[in-house]
Amino acid sequence: MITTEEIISLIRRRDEKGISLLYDRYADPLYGMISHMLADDGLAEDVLQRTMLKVWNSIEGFDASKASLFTWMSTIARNTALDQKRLRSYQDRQKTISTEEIVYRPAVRTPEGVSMDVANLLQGLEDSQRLVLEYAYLKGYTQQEISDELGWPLGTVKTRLRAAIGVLREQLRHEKKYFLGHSGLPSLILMIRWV
Amino acid sequence: MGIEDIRASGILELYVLDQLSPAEKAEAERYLEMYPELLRDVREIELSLEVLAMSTARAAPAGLKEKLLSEIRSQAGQTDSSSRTKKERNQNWKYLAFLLAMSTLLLGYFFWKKDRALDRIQEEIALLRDTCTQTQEQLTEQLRILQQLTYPENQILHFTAMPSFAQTDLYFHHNATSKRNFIQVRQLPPKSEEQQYQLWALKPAQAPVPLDVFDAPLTGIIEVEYVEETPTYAITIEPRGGRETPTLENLIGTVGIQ
Repeated sequence: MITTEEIISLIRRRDEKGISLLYDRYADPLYGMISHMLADDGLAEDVLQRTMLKVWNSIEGFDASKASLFTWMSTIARNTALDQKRLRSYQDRQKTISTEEIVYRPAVRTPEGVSMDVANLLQGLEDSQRLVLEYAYLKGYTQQEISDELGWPLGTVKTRLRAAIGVLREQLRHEKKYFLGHSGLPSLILMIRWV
Repeated sequence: MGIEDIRASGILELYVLDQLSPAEKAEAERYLEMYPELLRDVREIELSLEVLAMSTARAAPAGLKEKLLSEIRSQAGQTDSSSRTKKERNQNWKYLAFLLAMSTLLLGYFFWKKDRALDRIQEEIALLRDTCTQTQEQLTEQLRILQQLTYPENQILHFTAMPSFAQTDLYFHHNATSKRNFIQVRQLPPKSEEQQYQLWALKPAQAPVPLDVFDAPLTGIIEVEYVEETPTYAITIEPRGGRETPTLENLIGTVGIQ
């Protein structure tokens, strides 16, 4: 199976196959994030296309020593979505949408190579921890915006966000295969069985 | 800041979430250079969030990939055409460009020699200006705190220490008008490096609300969160980074708001 590094290398050589493989691997999770932020399928499609184009055009700016490829791409996606949201004055609509519960897919397959069960991982989160993660990561809110939106003190938001990520990290550590090798991301296939 | 302080501060999580200011981001990257072992923390945070993203993935719209590839081919076509035009133009102007470059080099060398002394002076001025700015910011901050503490509506309340932490001597500066709180530290009980003090808001018939975590402030005073309609604040000693629920045996003391 082709590695992430090989895909990056193909894109750097301006080989169209690279962006095609990248799209197959990451378009779905990025589209999920963007959709949660914008709550508008047409706009989300446009933002996903812009995101992938930015990745293609800015690949020289990607530094693997600073961030993983997915983190880098999700930052581009989040910023592009936020720009669009501001441009089209979607704030009011977003507020309504933001109170909706995010539905986790019962089964997800990523195109990389290891399988793992993460049902317990997500169930290990308290409701408040899951909520703060959704707002911070999937909806692109700042900590101050979360505090304003949910009426939690800023200190509580900080504590809960850190604790939530801590719970995920701790649970993932038990999935030793996921963290095999400290350098580079191991391939994985996530099979999420939401029980 | 030590490595455990960095881990407890939450800066790494915000670094991955891209929620830091440019200055904070530069600071985080400096920490990562200083402590390469923190890269493992960053990778774990990234993977944790990646799992979350995978679990909420949606099938991207059909046909979008083809649109994307078509756009990329179109961009590549424009670039090729643009490159050819540029090449022809470059041929025509290359001799003139060479002459200009030589002239610029000679002039540049001349001015470079003249400007070296000036650069050194400017660097010294910049350093002095930074020092002045930093000092001014510190003084402004101290003045701001002083003004808050002498505000007419300011209440100065003494923390009631628990018997097991009787040596504690703290004052709580509470102002319902400006909606700000400060803790003035005269003496705090000892704690280990792996622990921090944590403030809590206590309201009747509600679970304690976790607020700021802090170490003993060097200036002796620290601003903490203000929570509306809180009759009592409490301080505990908790693991570094704070907890969601207080450790009651580590309750240092409480202060009632009048």
